[in-house]
Amino acid sequence: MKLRPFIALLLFALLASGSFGQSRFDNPSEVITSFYRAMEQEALETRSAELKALFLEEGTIHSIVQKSSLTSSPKGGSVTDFLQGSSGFYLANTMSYDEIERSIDYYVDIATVHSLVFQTIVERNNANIAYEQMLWFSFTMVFEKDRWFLTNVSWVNAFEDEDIDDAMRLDTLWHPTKN
Amino acid sequence: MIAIRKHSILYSITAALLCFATSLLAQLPSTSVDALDAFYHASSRADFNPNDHLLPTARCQVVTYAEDGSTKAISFTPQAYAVQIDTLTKLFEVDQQPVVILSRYYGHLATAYLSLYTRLIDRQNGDTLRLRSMQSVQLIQQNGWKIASLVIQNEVEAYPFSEELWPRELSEDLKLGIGSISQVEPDTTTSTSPEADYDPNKVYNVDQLQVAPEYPGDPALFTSLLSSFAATMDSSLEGSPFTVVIEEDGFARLGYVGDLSGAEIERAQSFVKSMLIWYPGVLDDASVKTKLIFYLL
Repeated sequence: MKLRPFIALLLFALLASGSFGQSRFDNPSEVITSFYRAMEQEALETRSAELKALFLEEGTIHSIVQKSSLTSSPKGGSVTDFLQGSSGFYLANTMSYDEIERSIDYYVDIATVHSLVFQTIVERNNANIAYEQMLWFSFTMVFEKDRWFLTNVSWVNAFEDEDIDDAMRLDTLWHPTKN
Repeated sequence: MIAIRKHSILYSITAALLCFATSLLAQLPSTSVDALDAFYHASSRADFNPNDHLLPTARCQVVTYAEDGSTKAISFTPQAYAVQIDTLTKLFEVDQQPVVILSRYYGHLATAYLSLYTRLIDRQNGDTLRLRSMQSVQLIQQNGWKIASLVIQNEVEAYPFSEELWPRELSEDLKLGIGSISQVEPDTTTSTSPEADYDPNKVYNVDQLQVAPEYPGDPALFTSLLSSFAATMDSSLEGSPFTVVIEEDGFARLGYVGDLSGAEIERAQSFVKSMLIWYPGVLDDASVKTKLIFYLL
């Protein structure tokens, strides 16, 4: 009984701080976590509302299905294009994402985030059939109206010829420049 | 003989096709970094073709700031971005060079987070602006590497670039500033000391003068000119700032335009061209160059 006021106070504090209630997206990591959560939503309305809340109005999504080092099928467009194009796939499957690794580069009001995730796809009609794969996601963001918005998300799946961990390896290139 | 001739023709056609294919392949950037180089080179020129460098679904976002410091990202389609480049290259000779590229790639997706050095030479008066920006680029291989997303953040003076992205070894010869908000070196063309002696080469602020520049004729003329171009001198109205320099002979020329979009630069230029000859600013009984700050609404 004595715990009740404490729990109520704790809940109030969490809600007031925004960490439990509505997200404020005031750091890039929060946007990434919310993005994966939105991508897992089964209902189109929920998925649509959660994804659109993360992107600027002109935001874009590009995905690459990589079959081998030489062949791939890139697709891209607005968030609405993505929602429409993937709705059939979501009707037949459920998806979950487990993030393995993340790195962030930022300067003032832009940020770039790289993330490796483990994706699990399960057929709705037969839960025994599941597909698993690793994906590399690259996010670009801008800080506007006191929060971070996604401007573009691109991703590519792992393929046999190359270790996807390579995606997180950074090459620093010095460019010869003349005044 | 006929058979030999047929073979000769076949060989010729095959050779011609091979040459054509090889020349096409030679034109396509072989790596994402080559594609970036090609993009920055091409987007410094008036004949920039967005289809060669950007996917049709690509968006270019430029971070801009309102007078109150709030951020607004302006989004451009590839065609709209090309219009901006076209406008910019009409006004300035443009040179863009990446300095440090932090590159990642896997399969047919590549990213670059890079520092960029930009030099703009005013085609009318030869003034040079040297700026730097941070840019985040995503590229996808689809008939060659093409840009899917470009986000541009111009330098903010309060947040200097890190040594990693602007190393001394690469940047010590790169001058910055001259009319640029993002300058590192002091702007020697604009005096900031109220006690500064008269110098014919300096551009003075109004508060340093004995007599401020004055637009000729009825004040309503100037008000009408301002309203025709949706311009103001009132900083509280949260417009996009730019400067106009009134020369010693009273002629006006466009100064700093770093916070304006391409279309706004065009509007600002028309605004300045529509001005009559001013009565110039006066210091120590001599006409001097004066900087005026305007805002586009």
